[in-house]
Parts: sequence; C-alpha cells; structure tokens
Amino acid sequence: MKKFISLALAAVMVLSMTFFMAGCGDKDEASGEGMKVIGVVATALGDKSFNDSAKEGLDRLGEAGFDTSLVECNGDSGLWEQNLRNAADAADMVIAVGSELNMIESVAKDYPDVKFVWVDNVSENLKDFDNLTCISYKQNEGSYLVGFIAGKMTKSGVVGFVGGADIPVINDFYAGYAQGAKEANADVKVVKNYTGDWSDTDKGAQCAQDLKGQGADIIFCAAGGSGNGVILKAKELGIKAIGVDQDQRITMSDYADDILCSMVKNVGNSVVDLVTAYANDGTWTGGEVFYAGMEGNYIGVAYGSEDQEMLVPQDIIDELDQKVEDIQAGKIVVDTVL
Amino acid sequence: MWDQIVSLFSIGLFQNTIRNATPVILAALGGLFTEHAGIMNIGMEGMILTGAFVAVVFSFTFASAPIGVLCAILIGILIGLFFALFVVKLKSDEFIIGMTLNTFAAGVTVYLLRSVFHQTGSWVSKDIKGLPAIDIPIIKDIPVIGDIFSGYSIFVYISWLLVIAVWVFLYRTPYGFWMRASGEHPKALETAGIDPVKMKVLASVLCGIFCGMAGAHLSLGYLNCFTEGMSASRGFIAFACVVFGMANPPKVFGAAILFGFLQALGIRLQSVGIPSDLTEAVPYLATVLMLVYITVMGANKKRNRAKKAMAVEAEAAEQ
Repeated sequence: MKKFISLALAAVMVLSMTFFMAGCGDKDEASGEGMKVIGVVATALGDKSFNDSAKEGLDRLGEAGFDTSLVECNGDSGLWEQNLRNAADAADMVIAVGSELNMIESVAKDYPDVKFVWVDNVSENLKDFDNLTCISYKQNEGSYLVGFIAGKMTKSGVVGFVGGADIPVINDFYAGYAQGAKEANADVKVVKNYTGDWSDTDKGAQCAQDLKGQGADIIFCAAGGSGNGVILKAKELGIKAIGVDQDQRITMSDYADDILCSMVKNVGNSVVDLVTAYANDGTWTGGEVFYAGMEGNYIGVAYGSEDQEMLVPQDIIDELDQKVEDIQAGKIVVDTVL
Repeated sequence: MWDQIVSLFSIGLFQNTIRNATPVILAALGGLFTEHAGIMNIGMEGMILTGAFVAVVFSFTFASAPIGVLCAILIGILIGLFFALFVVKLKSDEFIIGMTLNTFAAGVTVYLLRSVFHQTGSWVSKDIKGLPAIDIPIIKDIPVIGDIFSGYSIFVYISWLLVIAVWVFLYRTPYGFWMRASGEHPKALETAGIDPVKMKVLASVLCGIFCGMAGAHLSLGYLNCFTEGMSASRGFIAFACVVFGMANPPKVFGAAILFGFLQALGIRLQSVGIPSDLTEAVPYLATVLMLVYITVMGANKKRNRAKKAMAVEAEAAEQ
C-alpha cells in the first residue's frame, strides 16, 4: 500500500511538472495573434448585460485568432484572487471583469510580465503599475441620455431607478439618470432602490413594484441579472423598463414591448479595442485610466433591432442627438460620483 | 418622522410580504414533516431549486404550466425517496446528504441549463407558461384588502389551506401521530406494531413534494423564468422557520410571514433614506432578536413551571 501511494505521488509530481513546463513554453512563444487572453468574471455570465458583453468581446477576440478563455467566480469572493492568479499564471493578458476585483493590485505586483486590464473600476495606486490599466466608463453620460428619454416620456411625473448595490459605479448611473430626467422635465421626481443582489430576479421585481407604488412609470434597471426582474414584471405593473449594458430589446427579445430602450455600456468593444491595439502595435497605457465614453461607441443608447417597433418617438430622439453633441462639446457637464 | 413611518406601510409592502413568504411557507411545511420524523433536513434548498428548474423545463416543453407543476412534484417525490434511501435506509449522516443535495442541485441545474438549453444565467422565454393569477370574487372588489389578498397564483392560496391540512394531518390523524412518534420515540412506535422507517420515508417524500411545489411556485408563479441559484437561500430560511415555529404549522406559517414581511420592509426602508446595506440585514437581525426572545421566554416558562411545582410540593409537605 505504502509503495502504491509513493508511486502515485511521484506520478502526480511528474505530471504536474510536465504541465507546468508546457505552460511556460506557451507563454514564451505567444505574441500578437497567438496571444493568450483570459477573462475573470467576478460574478457569473448570463446577466444578459455587463458580463455577457465582456464575454461577447472575448469571443470576438477569439475569432480574430487570440487564444481566449473565461473564468467565472459566481460571486464567490474567496475565488477572486485565486482565479486572478491562476489566470496570470497561464495568460499574457488578464481581463478582470467587475468592480469587485480590487485585489488586482497585489496580483499585478507579483506578475510584472503579465498585462492586466481592470474593467469598470479604477485602482487606487494605479500610477505605480505599468502592467495594469483600468477601463472606466462614462456611464453617467449614457444614463443622462436615457434619463432624458424617461423624463420626456413619463406620464406620472415620477421615474424610477433600480441599482444592484449602493456602490460608486451604480451611483454614477443614478447621478446621470437623475440629471437627465430633470433636464427633460424640471418637475420630475426620481425615486430609487437597490436590490443588494446581482442575480436574484425576484428582488428586482419587488423593487420595481415598490417604485411603482411610489408612482414611477418608467424604471431604469442597472442591476445586472436582478434588474431583469424589472423587465419581466413591467407588463404586470403597467410600466416601461430601460435596459442596461447590452441592447436588452435584443437580448430579451420576448419582452421587447416592455423595454423603451437600453443604455449600452459596451464592455466588449472596449476590451476588444484595448487588446487589439496592444497586439497590433504594442500600444499600452499602463498606469493610466482608459475612459470609455460616447466617442468610440462605448456608451450610448440602443433601441433594439430594426424590425422591432420603436417605442421612443422620433422627436425625442432628435432632441437627444442635440444633447449628445452638447455633451461631447462640453456644453453639458454630466454629474458624476466617481 | 411619523409620516415617513406611515408611508412605509404601502400596499406593495404587504403584497411583497406574501410574495416572499409563499415559497418559504410551502418548503417549511414540507420541512416540518421531516423535523417531526426526527430528520434534520437542510436539503430543502436543493429540493426547491430542482423543483423550480424542472417546472420551467416542462412548462417550456409542453407549453403548459400544470404539466410543469406536476413534473416538479414528481421530481420532488423522487428526491424525497433518494433522500430517504440514504438517510433512513442506509443511515448516513443527514447533514452531509442534505448538503450534497444542495450542491448537486446547484451544479446540475446550471449544467443542464447551459448544455441542453443553451442559456446562461437566466432563462427567459415567452414559451415558459406561468401559473395564472387568480382573482377571488367579492374580496377583489374591496379596496386595499382586494389588492393585498387577491390576484396571486394558485399556490399562494393552496399554501394557506395546506397550513390547516398539515395541522390536521399531524395532530388529528393516526398517521400524523405515528410520524411524530417516529421522531420522538421510534422504539415505542415499533412496539405498537408500526414501522418507524416507513413513517420517516413518508415524511421525506412529503417534504420533497412540498419543496417541489415551492420551486414550481418560485419559477412559474411570479416571473416565469429560471435563474441560476434562484432559490436564493429560501430553503435555509424555511428550515429556520421550522425551528422557529417549533414545527407547528400555524407557528411556522407565522414565522414565514414575519420573514417575508421583514424582507419586504427592507426594500421599503430604502425609500426613507436608510442605506441599503443596512436594510439588507434587517430580516437576519430580527431573526436573531426573535430567537433570543423565544429562548428567554422558554427559559422563563420553565422557571415558572419549576417554581409552581415546588410550591405544590411545599404545600403537600405542609399538609
């Protein structure tokens, strides 16, 4: 028995050595097209918004010849650092998806040869890292636009907001949304709720019901998967929802009638652009923040596919185009909490 | 201040109370069978999740909510038998089997959802037929009360009736008596010629059925969708309610309603400016307080009883 155990142990050691060496070999060869990019998602795929947009970006990179893979942590905070380190062991570039992954600094410190991209948050000591870059989205500007639509289209004079958690990124959505709604209609009242959860769909529905009770007839949901509860419940409550991150009239096409439009935060585009720029000519903004805004189509408003009935009247869209120009020209400064 | 407190108690608050409570009531009613039969059942979470998944799968396949519910109940029976096989027949540790059930359900539903149905995260489709809302005649026309008590899926009303039915079963039928005896004193039951193992298996199967219904209600009674991990600890809350209500159906019902109310209140409290991180904790804080209260009351009762007994004894000695 003892002999068998020692034999088995030896076999395991030899095997793991082989894998380890193979891993190292891959890394040296990789450059440009064969580059290995691993995404680490703090929560889970299937939110039909933020995370799925990141996955869509990685898939596009995969089609372009990059060696990509994606790891989900299912919101288990114990896995975040582990998975980041595992990814850094195997990849040339690690994409950390989710504002929760703030241990990225300590990981980046230990892997100076690996490039890190942190999506949706800005790390504290970013300047000290030349292998880390952060993507920050101007969600406040996009939210301003959908807030403007909501303010114009509300009949009750109250518009609602459902956030996933009381955190700066989500409050940035809210800040822009409230300002946009007020811009469209100075008398409008903005009410909000947080689900405190990114996947409990029923929580989102309950928040929607609560906001409806406060008079809201249009609700913007920035709460990942739990926000989908707002959309599913919309018909029953007689309200309209505004989607987030992806064009939810397309990702939840069965419920397109209940969705006015979506504030698109195109995580996928920003990741693709950043990675391809690095692979093509070594452009890398280590230690700096990459601000993804309306220029480059990282942030915007989407109204669904062409064969779907348009729910937002054309005259509001025309006014909105003017707002877009004003924001880009700096004539309108959108509130931010970041 | 007073206005703010009054504004908390909206109709939505009570609607959400019932909404939160119903799956917990159903699961807890199932859990109290096993509790009485002397099985510590923490596997309800997995049973609910499986029920929710199966209900959606069959509702989608046959475009019929009743078939979905029926299949959820069938799978509940299967899981109950499986649970009984390990816990009762093979006498393995009930805690570990319960945990296994939960982990297995969480894994297998996600796996099947992604590999067979090619959906990630949540499964939303118009073809998933939900349970229709039922308007109760007369009551639905009464303002406020109609809004609060009418217009839910059938399971809400079934769960209320079941509370009474389960109470009658447990305390007014021989089967209920045997089931309670199988947990409290299996040897005595054996002497009476009844097999305690059979009663335990029955309790486990009944628990499976009730949890299957809870799952079906969760996925087809509200939003007609399945979300990964959608049971969201409701099974554990149900278990807490069983302990809380001392496995007595009306008390368990009260505990579940209290839980549902506090969860709903958590959302409402945000509207008066209390931070959401704090409101999230309300149901759990309240549970701890209630448990302390119940324990202290229980201890007091015991002490009073002891005092009375001593007084009686002293009286007897005097005479």
